[in-house]
Amino acid sequence: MSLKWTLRALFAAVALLLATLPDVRAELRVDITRGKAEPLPIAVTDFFGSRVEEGRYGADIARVVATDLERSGLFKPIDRKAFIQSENAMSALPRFGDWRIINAQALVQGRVELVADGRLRVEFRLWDVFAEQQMIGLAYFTIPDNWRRVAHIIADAIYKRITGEEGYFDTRIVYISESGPANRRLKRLAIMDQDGANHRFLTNGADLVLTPRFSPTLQEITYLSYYGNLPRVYIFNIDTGRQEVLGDFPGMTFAPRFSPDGQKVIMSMSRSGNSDIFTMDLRTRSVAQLTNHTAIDTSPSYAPDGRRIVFNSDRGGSPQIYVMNADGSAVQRISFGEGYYTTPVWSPRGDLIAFTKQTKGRFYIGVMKPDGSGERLLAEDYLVEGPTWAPNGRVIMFSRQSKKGNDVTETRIYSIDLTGYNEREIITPIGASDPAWSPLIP
Amino acid sequence: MRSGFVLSVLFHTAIVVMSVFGLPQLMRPEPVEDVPIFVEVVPIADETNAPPPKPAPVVEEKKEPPKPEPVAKPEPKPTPPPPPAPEPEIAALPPASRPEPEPKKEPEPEPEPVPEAKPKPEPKPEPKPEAKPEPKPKPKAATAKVQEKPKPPARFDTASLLKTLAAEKKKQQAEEKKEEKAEEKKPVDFASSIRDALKTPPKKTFDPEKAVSMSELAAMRRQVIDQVTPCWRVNPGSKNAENLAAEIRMSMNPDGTVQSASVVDIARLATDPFFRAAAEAARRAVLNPACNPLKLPPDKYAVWKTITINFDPRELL
Repeated sequence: MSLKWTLRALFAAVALLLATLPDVRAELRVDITRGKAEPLPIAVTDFFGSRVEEGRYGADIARVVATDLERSGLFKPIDRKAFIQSENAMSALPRFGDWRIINAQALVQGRVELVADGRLRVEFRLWDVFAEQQMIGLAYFTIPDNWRRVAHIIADAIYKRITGEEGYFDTRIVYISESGPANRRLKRLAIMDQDGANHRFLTNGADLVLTPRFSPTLQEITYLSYYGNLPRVYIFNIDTGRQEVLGDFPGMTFAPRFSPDGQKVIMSMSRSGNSDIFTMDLRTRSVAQLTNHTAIDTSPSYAPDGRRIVFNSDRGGSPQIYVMNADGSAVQRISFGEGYYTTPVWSPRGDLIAFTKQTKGRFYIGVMKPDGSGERLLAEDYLVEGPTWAPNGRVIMFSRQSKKGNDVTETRIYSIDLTGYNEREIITPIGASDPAWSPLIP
Repeated sequence: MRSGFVLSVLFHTAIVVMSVFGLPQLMRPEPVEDVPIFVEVVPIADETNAPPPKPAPVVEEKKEPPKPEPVAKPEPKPTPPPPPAPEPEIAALPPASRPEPEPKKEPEPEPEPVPEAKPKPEPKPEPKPEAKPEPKPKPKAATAKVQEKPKPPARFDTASLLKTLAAEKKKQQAEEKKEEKAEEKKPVDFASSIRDALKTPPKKTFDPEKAVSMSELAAMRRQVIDQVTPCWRVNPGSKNAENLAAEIRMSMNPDGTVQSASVVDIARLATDPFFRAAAEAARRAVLNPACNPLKLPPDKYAVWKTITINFDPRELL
C-alpha cells in the first residue's frame, strides 16, 4: 500500500518537475544600460484664443513656457516654423502623426479665454506624442496682468510631469546689484523673477548690503547691512518695505540664513575677533549659541529637515566644511580636499552640499554629499562664489568674475545644472552678485 | 517492515540504474540556447528550422488589422492625413469642477484639473494614416534586405534575383523566403524551386525549442540594444537615479514594429513620480519611430514576439 503511494508520489513529483521546466524562450530579455542625456524635443504651440486679445495672451504664455523649458537644459522646444499642425482650439485630438514627423516627443497645447468677470482662464494639455496619451491637463484662473506667473506655473507642471522632479520656474531671485567704481561701489538689494522679468530694486544703495537670503515664506529677506557703519543682520519685508535689525547683539552679526521652517535665523556673531554660530527664534527672540570655539565659525546652513547644520570653520587650520547636529553637538569635518572650502549650502532635496572652493589661485563651485564623499566641481573661474540652490535641488546659481588680460570683468550671475552642463548667464541690468533663489512661490 | 525493505531495494536499484544510464529526463540540459552546431555570429537564417508554412500567411494577415497603437503600417506615407474628427469629449469640457472665484486672492492662479481627454481607450478617428511614422524604409523592404544577407547559398540568390528582377518582385522576397521553405513557391521564383528540389524531403518542421543558438540570441540582443539605445533619453541629474530601472514589455509585430509597449511595474507607476518619468522615457525610446522597426530575423519571430527591455540608468551616473 504505502509502496504504491510512494511510487505514485514519486511519479507525480517527476511529472511536476518536467512540466514546470522553465520555458526560457518565452520572451527575449534585453538590458539597456546606456542612453543619451539629450534634451527632450517638445512642441509648444501658441495657446489658442478666439479673440485677438486672448490670442495675444496665448502667444505670450506659450513663449514664456517654451523659454522656461529651454533654459532648464532638459527640453528642446521645436521651432514653431516647423509645425505642420498649428495651434488649435483643443476641440480635437492632436494629429499625432504630424508631430511625430517633426520629431516632437511631447506636445503642449493650450487655450486662453477672458471670462465674464474679467479674469483670464488658461488651460493647457501635455501630450505624449508616441503613446498618443494625455500626460496632464490643467486650467488656471488669474487676473490678466498675472499671465507670466501662469506661464511659469504651467512650465513647472510640464517639467514635473516629464522629469518627476518639482519645477523651479515660478520662483524669484534676490541679489546684490553692483555699480560704480571699486572704491565707491554702490550695492543695492534687487529682486526679479527667475527669468529676469519684473526686476526692481529694494534698497537705495545708501548702505552697503551683502548676503541676502529668502525666507521660506517669501515675504521676507534676511541680509547683512552696514547701516550706520555697523554690520548687522537685518530683515526686510518685501510687502511693506520695512527693514529691522535682528536682535541686539553685542558684536557684529553676519552670514544669516533662515531655518527651513522659517521660525529661526541662524548666523554668525563676531566678538573680539572670534566668530561663533548662533540662532535666534523670530517669535520669542531667544538666542542660542551653537558653537563655542576659538576659530572662526561662519556660513551656517540648515539641512532641509532642520536636524543638521553645515558650516564653515578654520578650526583645523584652514577654512573647511563641517557638519553638526542642530543643537551644536557631533561636529564633524567633511571636506578634505586640497585648498579652502567656504560658503556651504545644503541642497533643498537634502542629498548634496554646494560650496565654494579656492585652490591654486582659482575658484570653483562644487558639490559633495553630506558625508563629504563624491566631490564634484561644476564651475571654475578667476572668481566664482556664493552658490544658491533652485528649490528642486537641481540647479545652482552663483556669481562670477573672469579675468581678461589684466582686466577683471564685471561680476555677473550664472546658473548651472547639477550635472555640470547647461551653464547660463542670468541677465541683469547691471553688475550682479550674491544671488539667492527663492522657494517655489506658494 | 517489509515495505520498508522493498522500498529500500527499489531505491537502491534506482540509484544503480541511474549511475549506469545517468539521470535521464531530469538533468538533461534543456534544449536551450546551447546547440553546439552554430558557426556564425550574425543572425542565421537556419534552413533546417524555418517556421511552419501556415503561420507565415497568418502572420501577414495579422499585420493588416490596424491596431490603435502607433504601429508603423506599410501604407504609403504621403497620404495627407485627413483632419481628425472633432472630439466631443474635449469640446464638452465640463467646467463644472471650476472652483468658485476667490475675489480677493485674484493674483493666485488656481490649478484645476482638466478631465482627461480620454485618449487611449477610444479608437482614434483615423488611426491608420496617422500612425504613419517617419520616412522610413518600408518595413517589407527592410525585412527583405535583412534576409538576403544571411541566406547561406548566395549564388542561388543572385540567380534568383536576376530572374525575379524581370518580374520586379523584389520586395516580395520576405514572403517568398518563407514560402520557399513552405514549398509553395511562386512560379517566378526559379531559385527557390531548385533549392526546394535539392532539399531533402524530410521537411523541416519548425521547432522553436531547438532553434536559437547562443550567438543568435546574443546577436538579437545586440541588435535591440544598438537600435534602441540612441532613442533613450536619460535624466542623469535626477534624484535616486540608481533606483529608477524600468522594464518595458513589448509585443512585437512580425515586421519588427512595436505592437504595444507597456511598463511592467504598473503599481509603482502610480505612486512614484520619478519612476513614472523614467518609465515613460523608456517607453518613448521603444516607441520612437526613429528606432522602431527592429531589424530582427523574421524567421525567429517566435523568439522575439515578446521583448522585455530593462532600462537601467545605473551606469550612467
